[in-house]
Amino acid sequence: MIIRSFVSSKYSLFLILGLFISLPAFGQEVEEKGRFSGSFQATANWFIKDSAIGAANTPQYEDKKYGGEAWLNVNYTKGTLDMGVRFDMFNNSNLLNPTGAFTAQGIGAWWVHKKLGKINLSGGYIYDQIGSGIIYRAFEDRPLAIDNALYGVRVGYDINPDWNIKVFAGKVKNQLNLFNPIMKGGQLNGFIKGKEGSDFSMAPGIGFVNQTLDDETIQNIVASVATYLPSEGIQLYNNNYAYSVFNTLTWKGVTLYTEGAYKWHDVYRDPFAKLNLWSGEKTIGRFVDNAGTCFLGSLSWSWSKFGISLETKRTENFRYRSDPFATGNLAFLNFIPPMARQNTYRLTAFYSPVTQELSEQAFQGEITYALKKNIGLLINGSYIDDLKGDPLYREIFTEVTIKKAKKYNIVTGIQYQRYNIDIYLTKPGEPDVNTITPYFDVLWKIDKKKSLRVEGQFMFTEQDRGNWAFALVEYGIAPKWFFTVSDMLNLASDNVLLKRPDLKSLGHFLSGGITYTEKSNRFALNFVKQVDGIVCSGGVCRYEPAFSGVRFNILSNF
Amino acid sequence: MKYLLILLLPLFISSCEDEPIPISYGPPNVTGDRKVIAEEFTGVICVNCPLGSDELKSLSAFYPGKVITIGVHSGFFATPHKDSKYDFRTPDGDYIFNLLGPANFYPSATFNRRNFNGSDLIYKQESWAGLVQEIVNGTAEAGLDLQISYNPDTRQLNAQVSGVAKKAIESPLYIHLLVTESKIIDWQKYPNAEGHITDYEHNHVLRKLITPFAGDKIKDSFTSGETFEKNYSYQLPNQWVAGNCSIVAYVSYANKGEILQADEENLAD
Repeated sequence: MIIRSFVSSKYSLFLILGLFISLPAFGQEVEEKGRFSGSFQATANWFIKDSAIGAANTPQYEDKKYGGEAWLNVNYTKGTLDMGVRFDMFNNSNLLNPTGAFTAQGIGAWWVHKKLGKINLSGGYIYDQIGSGIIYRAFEDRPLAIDNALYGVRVGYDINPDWNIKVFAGKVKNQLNLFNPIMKGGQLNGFIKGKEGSDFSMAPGIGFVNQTLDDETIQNIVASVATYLPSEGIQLYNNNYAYSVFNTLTWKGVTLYTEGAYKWHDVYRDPFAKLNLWSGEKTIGRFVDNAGTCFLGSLSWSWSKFGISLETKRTENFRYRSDPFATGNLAFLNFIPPMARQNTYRLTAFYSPVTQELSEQAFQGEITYALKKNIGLLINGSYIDDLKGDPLYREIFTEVTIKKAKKYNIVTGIQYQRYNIDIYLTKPGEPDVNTITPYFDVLWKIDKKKSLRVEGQFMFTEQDRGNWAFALVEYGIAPKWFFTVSDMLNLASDNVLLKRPDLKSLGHFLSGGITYTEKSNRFALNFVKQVDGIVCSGGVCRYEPAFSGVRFNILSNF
Repeated sequence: MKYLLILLLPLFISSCEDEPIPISYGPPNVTGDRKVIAEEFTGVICVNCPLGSDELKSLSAFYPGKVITIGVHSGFFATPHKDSKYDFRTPDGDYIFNLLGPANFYPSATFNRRNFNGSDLIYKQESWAGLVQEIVNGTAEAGLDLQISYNPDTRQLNAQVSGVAKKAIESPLYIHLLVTESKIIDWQKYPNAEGHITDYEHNHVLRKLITPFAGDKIKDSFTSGETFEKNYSYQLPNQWVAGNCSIVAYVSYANKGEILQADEENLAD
């Protein structure tokens, strides 16, 4: 519907490359040699059907048997010129759609940056953000299949050493194609230092973006909303706008970041809004045109052995997409920071809260204390509701870290969660999940080369799929080898099994593998059995189906 | 300061009057004679699929007599739930699912198997209204009429599919004839407080392709005004409630080619 081929852009790539290379330098430049660098990342999966854990009924398990992704980056830097190109490949990949198979390959990105004195010029696929990203963020997150780079140009100007301004325009990337609407925006950043000898400083900024919808998108929105009852009509505009004002204030050990954003004339889909149909039925999910606001505040300070951080956020109607019809993680224009701890252990991250764009008010606090030089304490709490006051997420996370140099590292603690599974995992009717998860992670340095790490968690809960246990053992022979084996087991109580007898057939989720590292190249081969769940990064999550098979990963930097 | 004013300039510009795009609400004035076959990929464990069915129901009410829905239960989300009484999957539905897709998202649908954007046949719910609007305002290349008779004692259905090429057509055309059944009460996953509806009314469930899976070839080409007619007989299985069944006929190009015109008759009538 809004996909365009970018074949013609290959020619513009060479034109712009030639333009930048031929530009004369401003002022004095030290002649230096150009330098190539790059990276290669690939994942290859061989799928082995296992209906007992739900690893079935998708194209990869039924007939394709193989799926993978790869990204090859090559960069060239010389003086103030920086250029790069990236080749993307997807073979029967389920990254974009967990129940589908996506195949495509081509130039995923290219860019040219050139600094000419006070002017910064960029062309190609540009990754950038305004403020914390609330109104605009172009970023790449490969595990979530997010890549919304701006295909266009950006011009920056250093007004003076403390102030700079930039503007940009282009179209937003959609895999190996582009969305049709045109994005424009800009940001003014500054730095204000207190008087001589003062510990005070400020970094204020203001940014704006404007999206102009294309005729095809407008036509499709009109066709859709024209079927609404007249009493439920909306206002649709060719242009939508968003502004944000932000500031970082620093004084001694205290840092205060604040940002406020406003969006208007944007039509977006609210999946929870009620709609009366011409047939007399009532349904949910419709286009709305409500203005949006988002406020973010973050305060941190440290003194003596203490560190404290407090965050707050209020979001209302701040869904912002390149394509109003996009669902899930497609067509992001912005990034609203999460307000919960990004947990890393398997079971502490099992239930992760997804950032809510339409209705959320949240608080997070964390206290760290260095009890001794080698003993650290941490406690973190999150409190998230929707704007009606219905609870979405609660978390209390504690951590004790004990280190003995060249001997051992011990991390242990306990986590409590209350998780609104109805909202976060679209499981309507299911009660909130309450979990208590003690965990430990012990790294023992056997000698200069050998190490042994043992990790364990147990999640206690009487909701959803019940209790889980996880254990991992990792043996390392520095600097090249790691051997890992892990197991995850469902230990649901009889109460849970009464409601979910299917859990009895789950069995062990055994995984094991080898990782080999040679200089800046890392190879990993794993046999994996993994339960389905969500994978989150910064509050943006995707559903990951159950996996059974062999996985090979390569990560190489050059 | 002047740079701050430059950055604030768009704010002032955007504050100027930005006129909303006029939208006409209310029953449309349809200019074309084309009917729409909506092949909806759906499933009983698909939580949002009932919303897709509601959307098609609304479009049917919005364009009376123009939208014919075929509910294809196939793929991952059509797997019966442990509380389901029926399994709506059929080899016929699986054939359509694999021919046109597979569908990578639910709910999704094809509309006259038309490729609107140069690459896809299957579309997400959000874009259905625009696609239907485009088709119903188009002129059909062929006329089609379906006449049926049904003997409730023998459960024998006779169907006559007749039509006319409204212009010269240089490609083979195929007739497709199928049976759907509505008002089947069974379990369905649903975005409500309980997470499901035990007595959900399933409508337009594809039961059987009467013609061969790939369709019944009429002939290789047609002159303008040339007519065609085919007759079919089929005995309805006892498990189906005849009064809730609909017979759907459509004519299309070969393979998964576009549907030119369609018609539907209800056995209850």
